[in-house]
Amino acid sequence: MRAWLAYCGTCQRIREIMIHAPWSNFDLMTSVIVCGIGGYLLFMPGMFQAIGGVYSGMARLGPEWAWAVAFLLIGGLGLTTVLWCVRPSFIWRLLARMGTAACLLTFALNNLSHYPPPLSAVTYVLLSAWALWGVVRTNANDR
Amino acid sequence: MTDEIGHWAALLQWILGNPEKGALFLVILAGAWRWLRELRHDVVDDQHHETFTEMLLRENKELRAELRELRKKNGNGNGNGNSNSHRNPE
Repeated sequence: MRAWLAYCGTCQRIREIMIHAPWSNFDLMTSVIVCGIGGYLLFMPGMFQAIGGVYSGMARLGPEWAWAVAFLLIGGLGLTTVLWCVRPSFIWRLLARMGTAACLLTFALNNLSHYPPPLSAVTYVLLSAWALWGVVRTNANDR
Repeated sequence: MTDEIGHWAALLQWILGNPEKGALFLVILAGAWRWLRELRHDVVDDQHHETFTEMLLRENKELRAELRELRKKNGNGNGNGNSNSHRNPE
């Protein structure tokens, strides 16, 4: 099985992507998504009460504007970190990734707690899994 | 066994019931693990650096000893300026 995995070109490619590919692309995308969600919540109030109460768990914790501000701040930190002209320190990059991962994971778990989970649960679960993997793969000498 | 499954199910239920806490827990766990690994990596790197410095010192010592030997062989340096003077004529 192990030999077959080593031989399989696709498996090698997946391994290469997961271990060596630069994460900046993914960081940029997730930061923009988190910022986008924050902006959407800020300018479209009433989302937490709509869509069949899927977001009632998040509404229980705080008003939409508070979530929106938190998402904008975390997404902004992620964007600043990934777009900064020089490589920020390891701890900043780790914190930025942890922030975006926490936002996406909150959405994923919130959607999973609702039965039946909405379709977006698949997207959020995959995005948050990748974001967590990105946290684990943060490298001191890489971006 | 059934108790264990019930325990895990309760934990899962709690995580799904408190998504923000579950998310924070998982993210902090991943971040802390990465940070600790980086710290450990730094310590290992420092140790390697020390070993490397020691290796440089040792090589330097050996080369100096070799040079001293050569100088001794050549009569304490090449006074005549001929760098091939130590070679034996065939």
